Amino acid sequence: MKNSTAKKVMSSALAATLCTGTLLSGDGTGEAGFVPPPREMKKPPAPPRVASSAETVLACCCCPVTPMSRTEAKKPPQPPILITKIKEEDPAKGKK
Amino acid sequence: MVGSIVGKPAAIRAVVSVGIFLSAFRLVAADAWQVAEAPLRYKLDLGRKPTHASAGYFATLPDGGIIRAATPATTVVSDDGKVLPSYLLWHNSETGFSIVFADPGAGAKSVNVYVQPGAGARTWRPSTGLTPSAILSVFPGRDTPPAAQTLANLGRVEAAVHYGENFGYAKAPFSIGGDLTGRPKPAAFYLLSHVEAPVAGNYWIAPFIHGGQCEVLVDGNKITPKEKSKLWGGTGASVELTKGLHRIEVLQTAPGTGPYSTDPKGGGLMYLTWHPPKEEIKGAESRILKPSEIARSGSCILTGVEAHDGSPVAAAKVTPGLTYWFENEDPLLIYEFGALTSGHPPGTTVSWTFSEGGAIEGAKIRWIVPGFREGKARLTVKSGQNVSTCIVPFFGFSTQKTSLENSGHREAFRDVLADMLAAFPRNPDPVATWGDAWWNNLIRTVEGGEGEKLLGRLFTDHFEAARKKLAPAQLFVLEDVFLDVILRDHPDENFKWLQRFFAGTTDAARQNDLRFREGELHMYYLNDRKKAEGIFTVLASLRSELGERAKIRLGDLALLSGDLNKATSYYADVQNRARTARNAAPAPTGSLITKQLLDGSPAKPVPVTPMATGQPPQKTGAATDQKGGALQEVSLSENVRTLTGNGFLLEARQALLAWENEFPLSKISGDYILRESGIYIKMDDWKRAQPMLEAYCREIDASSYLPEAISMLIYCVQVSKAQPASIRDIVETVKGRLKYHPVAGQLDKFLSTAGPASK
Repeated sequence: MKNSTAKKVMSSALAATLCTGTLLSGDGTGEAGFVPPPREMKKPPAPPRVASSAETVLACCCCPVTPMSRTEAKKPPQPPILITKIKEEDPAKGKK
Repeated sequence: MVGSIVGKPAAIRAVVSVGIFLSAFRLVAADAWQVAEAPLRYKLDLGRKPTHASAGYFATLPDGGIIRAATPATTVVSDDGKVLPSYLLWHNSETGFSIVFADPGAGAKSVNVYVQPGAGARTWRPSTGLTPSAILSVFPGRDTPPAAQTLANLGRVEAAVHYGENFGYAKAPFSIGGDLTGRPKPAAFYLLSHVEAPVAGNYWIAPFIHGGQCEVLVDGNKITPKEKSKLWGGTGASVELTKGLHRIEVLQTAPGTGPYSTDPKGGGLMYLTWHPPKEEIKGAESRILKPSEIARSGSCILTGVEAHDGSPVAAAKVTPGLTYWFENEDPLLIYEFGALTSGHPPGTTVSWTFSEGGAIEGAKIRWIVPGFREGKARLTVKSGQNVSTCIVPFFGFSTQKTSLENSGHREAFRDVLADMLAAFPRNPDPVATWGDAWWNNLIRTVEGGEGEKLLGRLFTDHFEAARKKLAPAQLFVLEDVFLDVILRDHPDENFKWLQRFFAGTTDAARQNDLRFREGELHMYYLNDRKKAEGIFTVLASLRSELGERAKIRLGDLALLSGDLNKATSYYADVQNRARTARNAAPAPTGSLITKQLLDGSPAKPVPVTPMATGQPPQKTGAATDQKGGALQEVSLSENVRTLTGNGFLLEARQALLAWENEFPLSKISGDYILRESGIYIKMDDWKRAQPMLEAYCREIDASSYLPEAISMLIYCVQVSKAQPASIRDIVETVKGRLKYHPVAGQLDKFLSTAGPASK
């Protein structure tokens, strides 16, 4: 019983260490002037026009009567996502 | 065959000969007129077979006036000449008449239904021995039990009544869900069906009624449900049944208004459950009927209607298709109207007229009809002096899934609407009565490089109506789309349209836009660069965005003529003025041009930079500004590339315009040439893509975009089937510069087949 509890605690500690390492390293957070990427990569909500006009009710055989479905609208173009890092040099130091 | 019976005894020979004669007679008989007194016959192919022989085949046949308001007496003859018992169920001139006839047997493939109007129709009765099932007759607009009773009486019914097979749905095979044609409440229903009792004994029959009044009759006797227990299915009636088929009729009303509920649990009007004797049902008094316990009549496919005298008969099939229904707009549906032409003499003409005005010819046509409304078309067939007409009723309803992401669905709307515009009368013009749904769907389905036929017809025949109904911004963009489309293949026609649109507006900004278009027409398509230069020089004096763009075009003209310094000077001049506010606003992405049009807002790109106001270029040059500019240039390029790749060509051109206004020097130093050519190649506009690619490849000594540019140029020449020799000099020059680049192999291959350069 004691062994299994110790195992659980060790596993949790190890997982926490690994996650912390992953989160903190390599995203440039420590560098001056760099804005770290957002932690939660949640998709933005769909534009309201698509939500209201693309609500398609499929014809199905499990309904008492088959409804007429609305037309799926053409989705708006999605702009490409560009991520870049601009490094500002201090002209006073004369670095190139 | 004859040889095989030689030498046989005379008696056998005689029998075989008679057999051959009868077979031949039957083959002929199938095509010959088998009931001399009948002036009409309907040809039916047999479809799904009946589940029980006695269920026979059910068919609804069109009338529309060809039976001349008489009740039709029918004689059904199978393809081997056998007369089959047939009975009328319901009849009205709008829906037509429905019949049930006996199963001709396993081998039969088709039958002829001979019709004698007014000869004394035999209406189906249980005593006929046929057990039609499950057939639903609906009386829209009435929700009283007497209305349902009129349906149960069979025979002639009111014009609004319609009838067809009723399959129930997966969770309740024996049920009435609502009006399957999509017509809204109220309504009265009559369901004629037969179910198979697996064993003889006492059956507990428990109907579930979700709405309206319901009456269930078993073998003609009304049941009175009473509560036996609180369990599911506990309210019903006991009925003694013999083993085999039994008639169950349901008279149902649907009060209220609006559509029927689609909820699989609480929707529908009624469904039937039962408890066969000795069957164990846990926790309930009954169960739903299994599909195998419900008899189903066979189905038929109508292939033609013929007259005994050989004259053509007007009869049609109507098929609902794609649906264009958005938000709060009225739905619009494409309907296919097909005349049944079997048996028509050669040279028979078929024409259709619609209530809003408009006549169109063709055995099979498509028309856009408003949804959830009753409509009528008139079909006329003519052969010499013989004319036959009928009314083809329909109710706008379809379950076909439609998506504007599908180019075929967009094209279908445009094509049908173009055909309608061609068929519409000029006065009064039905376009003048179009509501928002028509205009909005027109705009939604017109894309860059699409819609020539439709827009050409609209502007040719219905320009005045369009001008009155559309907001100026909407009209201008439709004009622009049309001008873009005809630019490729009909530049001369384009010029005439430019003049017409110019005369049609008093808006000075719009007139300047059209002048700019004229300049581009001369520059790229009519090969009159002198004239183009004159137009752009005048426009370049404007202190506006258009003036700046005119200067860029003057730079383009210089590049085309081989003067790289002059071109650079024009581009740099514009770019310097734009630099001051380079990062003032985001790039124009994220919303469809059509969205702007539907909103009626001006379909202009979001300005990336305020355009020239005659101010001298401001001194900048800070490293941050340069980096920000480079970043924005990359962003604009990626934006154009993504939009083009996804087929948003209108939006891609708007983004390209924004890029050009902001960074015209990208034409020389950046990948602008690739993105611009990419758009025009996708639009199959080789005339626009090729000259700038030629100029770039000729004038730019070295750049990382040169290999792709020369590949695109070769692609343009090959796909447009232009003379390969016309670009031989350019390809040779580029090959000299890119000797060790992987593209050199492609250039060698091209040069080996290009032929000598033209002098």
